[in-house]
Amino acid sequence: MTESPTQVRGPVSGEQLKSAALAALAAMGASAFLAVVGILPGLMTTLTWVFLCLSVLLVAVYIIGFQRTLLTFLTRRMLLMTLSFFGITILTFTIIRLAPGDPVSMEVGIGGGEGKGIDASKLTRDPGQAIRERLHMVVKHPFSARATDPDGDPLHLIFSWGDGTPEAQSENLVTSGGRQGVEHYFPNEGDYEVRVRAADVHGFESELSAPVQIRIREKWLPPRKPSAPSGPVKLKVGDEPPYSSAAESVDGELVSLRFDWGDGSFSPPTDPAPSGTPGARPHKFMKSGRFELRAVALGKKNARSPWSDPLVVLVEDPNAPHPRPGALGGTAYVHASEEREYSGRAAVDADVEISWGDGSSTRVKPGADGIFKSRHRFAADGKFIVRAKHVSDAGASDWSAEFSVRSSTTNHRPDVPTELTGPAEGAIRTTVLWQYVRWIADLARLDFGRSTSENKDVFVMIKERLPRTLFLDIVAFTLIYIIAVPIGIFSSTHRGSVRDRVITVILFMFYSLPTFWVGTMLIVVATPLEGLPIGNIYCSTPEKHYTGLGSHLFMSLVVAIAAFIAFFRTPRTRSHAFAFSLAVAAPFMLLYFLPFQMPWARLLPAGAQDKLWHGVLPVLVLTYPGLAALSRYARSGMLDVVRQDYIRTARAKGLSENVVIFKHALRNGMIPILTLMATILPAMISGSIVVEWIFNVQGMGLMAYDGVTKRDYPVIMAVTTISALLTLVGLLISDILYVLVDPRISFEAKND
Amino acid sequence: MTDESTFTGQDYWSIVFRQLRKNKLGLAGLGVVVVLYLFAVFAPFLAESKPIRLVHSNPDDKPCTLCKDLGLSKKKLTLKDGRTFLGRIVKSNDETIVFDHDGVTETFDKKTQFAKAEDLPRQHGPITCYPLLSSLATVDLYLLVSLACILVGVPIFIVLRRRKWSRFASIRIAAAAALPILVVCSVLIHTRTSMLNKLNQVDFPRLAQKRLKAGDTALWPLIHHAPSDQDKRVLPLSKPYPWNLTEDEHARAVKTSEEWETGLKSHLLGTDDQRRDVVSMMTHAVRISLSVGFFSVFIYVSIGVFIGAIAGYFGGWVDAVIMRVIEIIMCFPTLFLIITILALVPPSIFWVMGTIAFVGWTTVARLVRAEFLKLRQQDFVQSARALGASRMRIIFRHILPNAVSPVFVSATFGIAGAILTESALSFLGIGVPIDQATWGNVLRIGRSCVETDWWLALWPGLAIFITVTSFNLFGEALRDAMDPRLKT
Repeated sequence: MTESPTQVRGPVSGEQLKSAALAALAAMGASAFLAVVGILPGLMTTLTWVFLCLSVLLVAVYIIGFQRTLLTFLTRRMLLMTLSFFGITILTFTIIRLAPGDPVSMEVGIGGGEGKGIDASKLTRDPGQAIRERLHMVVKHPFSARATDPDGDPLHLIFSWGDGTPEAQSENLVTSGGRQGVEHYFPNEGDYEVRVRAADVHGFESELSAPVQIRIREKWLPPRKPSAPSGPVKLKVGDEPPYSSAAESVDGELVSLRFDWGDGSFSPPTDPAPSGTPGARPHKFMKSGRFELRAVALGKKNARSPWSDPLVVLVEDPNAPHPRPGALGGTAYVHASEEREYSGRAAVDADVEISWGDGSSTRVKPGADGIFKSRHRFAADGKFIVRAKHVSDAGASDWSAEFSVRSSTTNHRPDVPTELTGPAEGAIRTTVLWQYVRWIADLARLDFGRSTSENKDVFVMIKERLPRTLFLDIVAFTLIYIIAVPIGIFSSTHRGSVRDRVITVILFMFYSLPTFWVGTMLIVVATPLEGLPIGNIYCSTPEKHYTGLGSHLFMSLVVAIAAFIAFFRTPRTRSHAFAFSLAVAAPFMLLYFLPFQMPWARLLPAGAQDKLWHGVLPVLVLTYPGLAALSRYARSGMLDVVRQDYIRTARAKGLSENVVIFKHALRNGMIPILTLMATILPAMISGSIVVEWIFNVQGMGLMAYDGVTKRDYPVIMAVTTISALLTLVGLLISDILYVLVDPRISFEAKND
Repeated sequence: MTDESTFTGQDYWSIVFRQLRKNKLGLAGLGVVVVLYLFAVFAPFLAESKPIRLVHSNPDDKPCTLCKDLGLSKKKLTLKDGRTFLGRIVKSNDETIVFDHDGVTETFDKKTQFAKAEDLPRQHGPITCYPLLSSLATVDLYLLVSLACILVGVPIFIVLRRRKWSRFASIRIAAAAALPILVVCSVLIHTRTSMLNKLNQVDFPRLAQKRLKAGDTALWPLIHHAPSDQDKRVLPLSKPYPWNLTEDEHARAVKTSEEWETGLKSHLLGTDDQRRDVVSMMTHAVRISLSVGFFSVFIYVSIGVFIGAIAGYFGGWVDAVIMRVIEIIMCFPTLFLIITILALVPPSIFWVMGTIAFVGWTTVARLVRAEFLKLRQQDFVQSARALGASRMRIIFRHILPNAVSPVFVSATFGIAGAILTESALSFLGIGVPIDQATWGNVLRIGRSCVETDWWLALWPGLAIFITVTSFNLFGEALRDAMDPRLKT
């Protein structure tokens, strides 16, 4: 067959129909295979993909055999499909990423800031940080530095970001003199100083390097630095005085304030107030000691100002003799030859005794600013615990928190890292376009990301769930076509008869029945009957035999319908009706008799029958609305054709009614039905959301529902992609079939 | 089949109406739709916990508790400058007095401003009030206004048509008569005093369950329950009345006095899991379904007609771009797109309407485009162009009136589809707030207890089925009438 069918007019030639039928058969075969595989999620392996590709290839070869222009058609169609695919994904992506609110809590761990000596362990790590990084929603800034060690040891670089987030250590060791970098994103606006220090393999750390500045800017400018908190500075334990501060906004937005109480706790933010309005929060100090109070101002979208200057508050406990002094600080890694200064903050004006951990101790007086300091040299190898306590005539306080110093006679501390470089300016969030590009790049590697709500790989989830949905959809889809077309033929050949009217009314009711209600009512009916399992296909125990009343009733119903069809008294088409009724009833019969352990039943994998029975109700609910729509179209399509002149001619020639209807009318009457594939496919994917929700089938529909309600971006995007792909492939197939069965429409015409 | 020769000399729309009148099923569908609309308009009068009219015999000697309940016991506040207010004292201390007059709260300084507060003279004789009427919400009022507009506009149209006025003129005059009603009423609705709102604060559900004293007469709505009332007298998920009296429950009924049984009897279809009356919820749900159906379709038909007209008329790259966009949206699983959007926005009926409209306009646009492609080369368009008519005039005055008939059919089916979609969304718990009375919400509650109380899922499904069927029947009738070629 080399001639182009464009010239052919009138009914379809038998040759083309045969090819089309073969092509369709191959596609059906692939689908059926998928359906079978769908019952066995374990087998969803490369085999399936190989088979799919093979069948597509088969179809293509068959078509190309007589249709040269197909390649151009396919190319153009592919272009359009690509366009549609990008359109769909961009639309969804934009909707979900631009929607108000953040799926991940915006509450970033407060505290710290500007590296003012606030203990990093106090900071809570933002739980959404990892998720946002994974979704490419944040800008990462690369920083790198060069480190050297006098002993030539391999080194780690430890970056401190100055934004309150924990320090980051470079993943791999770098040889002395090498350069290494770490990426970091800053969760808030502000000017930050990034510093770096080096640590060798023995755990010896260098001093912090000189900082590099980075300015993080967003659309919403942070307020100016607030005034130092004001309030009483001498308190007793248990007092709850209010402290107030005020901040000015740069962009005229409302400002709220948070206080860092210096004892490890932070106040909730004050109500947003106009710029310059003082905001106050009370705080109850439960411990005695000397605390530094700071305030931070929050503008719109959590744009955060720098921390204010501190207010030093002295809290005294009249019952305890002395509060313990603050922990010491200073150089933690020393060579045995070095003498270093160590300092700490006194809690009261009393002498401090510092124990160096090597048996010696020093007694010093705190200075006027409340700081006590002393110099010491650790002569021996080892780790020394340095701590301090207040001593006076009244007695001694508890020991302060421990500070450990490591000293070595052989190993030297690494040098301070040099050449610290990084960007001078940066942003917090990436643009939606960038996120989309990154998403596409990931998709190209079949990386759908990780689900944010279940923390599983989305691709694995899809591999597990897609076969289940496909199984239900393909079975329902096949049933729709198998049943709807004969009904349409029957109605059109018996137009106006009582049976036609009954069928029309029933189908009309089907058309208006809401699926979710029918599903619910089926559960109502099936529950007491105990034969038709309700939902939860993939969670029940296999090997259960479904011989309850429900299954008997269901089978009786199927047989009754089949008998009803078989004995339609149509003089010339009875044999067809009988064959059709057999075709409808046979699979159900098979299903029904399987429990009797026939020898060939063992050919089916274990649990298959159980899964099939579980599928009965969902498939029923998926089938009937499509059935109603399709048979109406089939009827009107056939009616259009039956009125044509060539049918009258065929009858006049004396051809039998069978030949007229099935050979002349059917081929042309079914053309509109093929195009309906394009609308039925998306409708079935939509329908599977409701059906899977009702029957609790862990398939793609339920995954989509869960993903959407939990704002699971990767899942939403994955489901969109998959359903878009399925729909587009379905459209392509329907287009090809359309051209194949209707020679009046050529691929050339379709191309234009 | 109709005899075409009898219609010679009649215009298209006359034929359509004549055909429509012949289709009994279609008319039945239309009738059900009208009844549903009346249900929507009069929902508060059918199911509400406030009496429509209440006459309270007011004994002189005792303070009237019901009056207090109704917020009728007021004080008269006199200021030093002679101004007086009627209202209630909200708070009073040594320095200030907070007074609520007609919903406006004001604070007065006792020393400088305030002179005295005295009880109003107690009213003698029966007090008549209209709690339901005075507490109608804006939506209720607008629905009533829409009915008024229809009742004015349609008769005018029919009368003018009988007098052989042209169709356009009749429509214009009918609209001109109905529009002022709409405008005046909406101004009135938005400027009505907040005094009426105050009656909402009265605990009417309790009042409804309280037996009135001898001498009180009340005119109640058919069902004494508002859709949100939780009737504490009965159990959650109580069955429709006569069923409930199993022996076990009968014993309980005797024990807990007649209150329980009165409560049960008042719930014709039982209660849901929060003891709300199912009939009342079903009645009020008509409004949500119909308004979502009508408004979303109205929005998407407007968008679709506009875009389709532009694509069809201009053709070329405009058409190509629009068609690609339409293809993209059409090969999307609709329900999934709607759910995705609605899950990201706050639950509200308006978002539901907007989203359904957003995915729905493509069908209409394709229909209109196809009609435009057919019509734009016709002679009447060419002549209009030759006469120098502007593009917009040609599109909207010449071609569009000839291209809308498939749109009407599509819109009717679209309303059915939108109602189904809305119910499906409520059923999944997305879109409409979950505590609002909609059929889908009731069905969801029914789904959660389907093993024991399956009847709860029955009613809303039937209601949806009837509504959708009526719209579909009417749509079929309309299609058959408008395009007899498609008649099957």
